[in-house]
Amino acid sequence: MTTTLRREQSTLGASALTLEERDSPSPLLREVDEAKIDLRVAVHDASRIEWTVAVPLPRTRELRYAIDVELEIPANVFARHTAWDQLQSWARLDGPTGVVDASDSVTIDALRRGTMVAAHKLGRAHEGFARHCLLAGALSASTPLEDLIDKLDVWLAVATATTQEARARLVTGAPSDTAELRRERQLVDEYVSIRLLDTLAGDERALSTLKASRHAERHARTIVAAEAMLAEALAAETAYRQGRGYLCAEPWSQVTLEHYLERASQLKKHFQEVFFLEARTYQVAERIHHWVAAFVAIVASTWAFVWQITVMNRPTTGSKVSSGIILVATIAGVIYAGKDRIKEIGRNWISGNVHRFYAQRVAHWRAPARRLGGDVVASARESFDQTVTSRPDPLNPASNAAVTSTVVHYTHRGRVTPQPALLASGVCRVKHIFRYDLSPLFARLDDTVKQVPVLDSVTNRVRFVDAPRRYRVPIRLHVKCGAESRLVKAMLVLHKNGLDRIEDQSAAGEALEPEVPS
Amino acid sequence: MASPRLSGAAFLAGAALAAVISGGLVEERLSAGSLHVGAVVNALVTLASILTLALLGRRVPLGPGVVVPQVAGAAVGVLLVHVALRRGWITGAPWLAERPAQLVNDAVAVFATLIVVWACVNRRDLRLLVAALAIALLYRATGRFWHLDAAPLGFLVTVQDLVVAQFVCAALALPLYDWMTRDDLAGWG
Repeated sequence: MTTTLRREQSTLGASALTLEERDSPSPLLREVDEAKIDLRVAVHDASRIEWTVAVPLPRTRELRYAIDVELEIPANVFARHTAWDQLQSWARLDGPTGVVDASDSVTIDALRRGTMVAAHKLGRAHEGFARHCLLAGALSASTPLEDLIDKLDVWLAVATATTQEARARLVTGAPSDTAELRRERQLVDEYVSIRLLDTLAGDERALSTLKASRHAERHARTIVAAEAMLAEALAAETAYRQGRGYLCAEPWSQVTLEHYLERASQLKKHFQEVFFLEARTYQVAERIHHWVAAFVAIVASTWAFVWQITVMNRPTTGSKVSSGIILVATIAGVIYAGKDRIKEIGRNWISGNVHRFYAQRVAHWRAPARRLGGDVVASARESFDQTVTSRPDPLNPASNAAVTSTVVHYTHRGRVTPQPALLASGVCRVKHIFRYDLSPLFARLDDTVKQVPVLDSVTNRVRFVDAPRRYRVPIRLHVKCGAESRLVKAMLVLHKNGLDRIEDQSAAGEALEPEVPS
Repeated sequence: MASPRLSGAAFLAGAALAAVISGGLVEERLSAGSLHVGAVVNALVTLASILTLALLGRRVPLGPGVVVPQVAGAAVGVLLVHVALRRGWITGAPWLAERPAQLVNDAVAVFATLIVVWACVNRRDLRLLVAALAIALLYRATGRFWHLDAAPLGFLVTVQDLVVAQFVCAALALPLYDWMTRDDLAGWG
């Protein structure tokens, strides 16, 4: 095994990603094209779903794109909430290259970018490992036994070689390094180590999936061998961490585990920050409501002016003055009595209609000032809309019975501007990350477990068994970018305690991949 | 304590508001009291008042650092318009007699409006609103005794009518704008 691993190290790189693609037409094995859009929907944590959309960075002309997300929440699940309060969004640069470059003026930034590239490669190595496990465990799988162990070996070699390369290029310092740079190199080393451990952990999970498949027995020896390889790599990395004095995850100490996770999170944020774009957003309604209020005030003023002049042109001075006072008092009284209503109507109208004419929120994402002088890389107009829809009851569509649901529709109309400097440094896409918190819905849901009566075949009596109570929310993510259009349809499964999983509507259990709409 | 930048902004806003009001009164006199001109002038004055209120509204506790420069700016704005009129830079009505009394019209219109602005800045201070109302009523009751323009066919809307009407409209529009924008904005958008 080790021999194979060492042998394959010399052929690592992009070619390794395509070893299997020609063997199977499965969309799961498609090669990631960095110049095309990429979209995913996933459960981020117990309460938030995440959708990510990567759009290519154009070379010459501005590129326009559109993102539409629909959550169709059944009426019995829906709870009123303010969509903007539930949404978090970020944008970051995305690309496979961009390692330390002699032209980089900020060396620490260049180190961080190089680290993110290494992290990206580790992620790809894990994806490759997991894909092969998934394929080998699929119902129609017929992977030769020797092929599988070789390929798992290759992906593991990719991970370890990437780590070694990152350490050689980014961690090994020069005598002229400043104290800050030495500190940064140490952080790079620690973060690469954590990412390698994450990769190994992910590979182990992928093997568990294979073990749970119906082909587990056939691949038993491969699984054992791969687990041994993973254990060997894990032991080596753990020893390396101990030798360098890095925090290690001690299984018997909750405090250490907590600190380990916290440290990993800090490191991740530290390095990812170099790719994140600085967002400037504003709510259009908040911007224009001053102008709407001014418009209303001017209309009222003009109306009052004409009325006032009419009253003043009455014959006697006494009537002019008294009428003027009465007029002021009357108008002021009417406005005071109705001011809350006026304000409410105005607010509702603006918030309900502004997106029809323009957008509810406008966002601009700028490159970090230290990198590109703060140029706007992408900008977008965003809106949320909620509509109630009624569909025929699927139990008996012909019966005229209907089920209602609330469709939360998020629209994002954006454009990406060409950035030659970013392209030259290897950035090829702008990745938008959205997380939507669905926790307001949980309070409406029934208990996670319900009791279902069944007939006990042994005692021939009724007994109750626990049954999971789940709810389903259809999700559609549609992205259009130039002539390219992608659609993901998914089913979000949730329960009282949070989000459970997300399923492709066409093939439950498979990872979500985009399809080209007909 | 207002910053020099804010005091400067208050000065400029006062001058601009006064120029709009005073220029509007001149235009109204030149048009011999046209109702259409009066309506347009009133709308412009309302907009200028709202902009002045918006500039001050969320930024200051009202104090000498704001009021004094604003009054000074308003005085400069009024004087600029009248200097232009006296020097003949603004022409069009040979019968128009520019006298010192004209300054009173402008002063009442400008400062009554400014007091309404300050009342709104000061969370719709009723005392200031009453003071502005008293100034306008006193002016309305006495104005015809000390100044009247004479146009060949008479005025449909006299300067005094316009000043009082503008004050009434400002006293209506500014609190309305303030009501619509001051309270919590959580519901917007």
